[in-house]
Amino acid sequence: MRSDRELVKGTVRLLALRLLAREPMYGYQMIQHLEDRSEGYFQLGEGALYPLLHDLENERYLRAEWRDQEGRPKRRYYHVTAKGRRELARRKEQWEGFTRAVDLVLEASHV
Amino acid sequence: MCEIEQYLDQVRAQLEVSFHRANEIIAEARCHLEARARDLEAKGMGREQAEAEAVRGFGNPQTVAAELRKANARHRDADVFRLVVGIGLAFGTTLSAIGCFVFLLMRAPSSIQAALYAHIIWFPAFALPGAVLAGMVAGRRYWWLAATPPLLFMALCWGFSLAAWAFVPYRDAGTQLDVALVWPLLSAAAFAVCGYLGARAGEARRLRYPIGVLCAVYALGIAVPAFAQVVRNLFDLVMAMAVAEGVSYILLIAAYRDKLVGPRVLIAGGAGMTALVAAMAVAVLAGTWGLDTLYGEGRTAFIGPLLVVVYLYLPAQLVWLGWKGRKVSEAAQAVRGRPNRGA
Repeated sequence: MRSDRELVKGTVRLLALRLLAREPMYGYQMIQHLEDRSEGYFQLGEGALYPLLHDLENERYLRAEWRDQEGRPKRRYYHVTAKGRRELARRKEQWEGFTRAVDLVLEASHV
Repeated sequence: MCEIEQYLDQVRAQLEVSFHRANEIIAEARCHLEARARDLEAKGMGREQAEAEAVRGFGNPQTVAAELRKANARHRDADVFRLVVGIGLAFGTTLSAIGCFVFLLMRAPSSIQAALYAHIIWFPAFALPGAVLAGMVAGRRYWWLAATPPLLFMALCWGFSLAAWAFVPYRDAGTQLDVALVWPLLSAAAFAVCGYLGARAGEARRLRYPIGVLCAVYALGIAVPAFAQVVRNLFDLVMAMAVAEGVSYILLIAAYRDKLVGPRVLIAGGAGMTALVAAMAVAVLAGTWGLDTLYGEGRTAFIGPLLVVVYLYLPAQLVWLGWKGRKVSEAAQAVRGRPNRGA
């Protein structure tokens, strides 16, 4: 199933923070993880990911560092800062409240 | 040129962010595109087709650049601030030495003509490659900042020359004043052009580092005959060293912007260079005064030891510049994603 663009846009910051809270990743790796874990639902525009990451970096939710790789160019890894973790918790709570409310309405509509 | 590089050049041309930030963004995008192309190749695509597909998936270069520009707007302001601080520090280094220089002149007003000669000839000779380097550091958007330190310095010379003309009567004062009035205007144009050319060269991957190194080599090439004048004019020596330090310091700023050194090294470098030049000025002053007091016409007696110091100092500075250039080159290689030959 293809994703709804507007829906994805609103949740992608939450997803990015969640992914990076588990382990530091580079951009391409994030796209692959998102796609794999969502069973192909989230297919982000590749060029759109980096402005988002830079935005989060500017807001100090993320920090980036270049890491050496043997025989390959350096990669820029992102990891979540303490401020980012607080933001993640806030967004997660917001999202859970939102989905719970949507579920309640949808379940009520079935009756 | 391969498709990925063409695409990245298109994005870079529209980023309008600082030199250093643009390097980071492009290196990150290159890393992504090459990984994607490798994956597609592994799935059986040809190299060219894989690159084309990777580029297509990344998006329209105009749109991507616009989004990146928006996300990195804060960096432009921060970089300008850093640049102004860096150039201010570099210029402060030179000015500190000039302060000693003016003090020397006050003690020996008969040398004003020689001093003006040093200002007018030697300073632009050093500062023009410095302006190219500063333009490269600043980037196309702020190329004009590269010309500010030399322009301020020329303004100082202008004021100084006017004061000299007004208060110290000597034969060619009128001619000197004409020169002092015209030269800053010519210099302003020359520095601005150099800053702009430097900014443009900084955008071209193939030109950036060769031109940077050429500028540094040129500055040192000018420094050698200036140092050779030591026997004729000790003030030229201090002046030449001060400006050589200024050019070196611009390289240090470039290294700072490439995150090769931290702010502490930047500040310590400025303070160290200022102290070194000031110490040289004091040494010249003390040597002249002391030997004159002791032996009357004894000025030449300390030139030998002084030359030894200079000839020890010059190779040391060359080594330092070479080391810094190697670090910058390594960083460039890393950003381009190719292995370092010398590492």
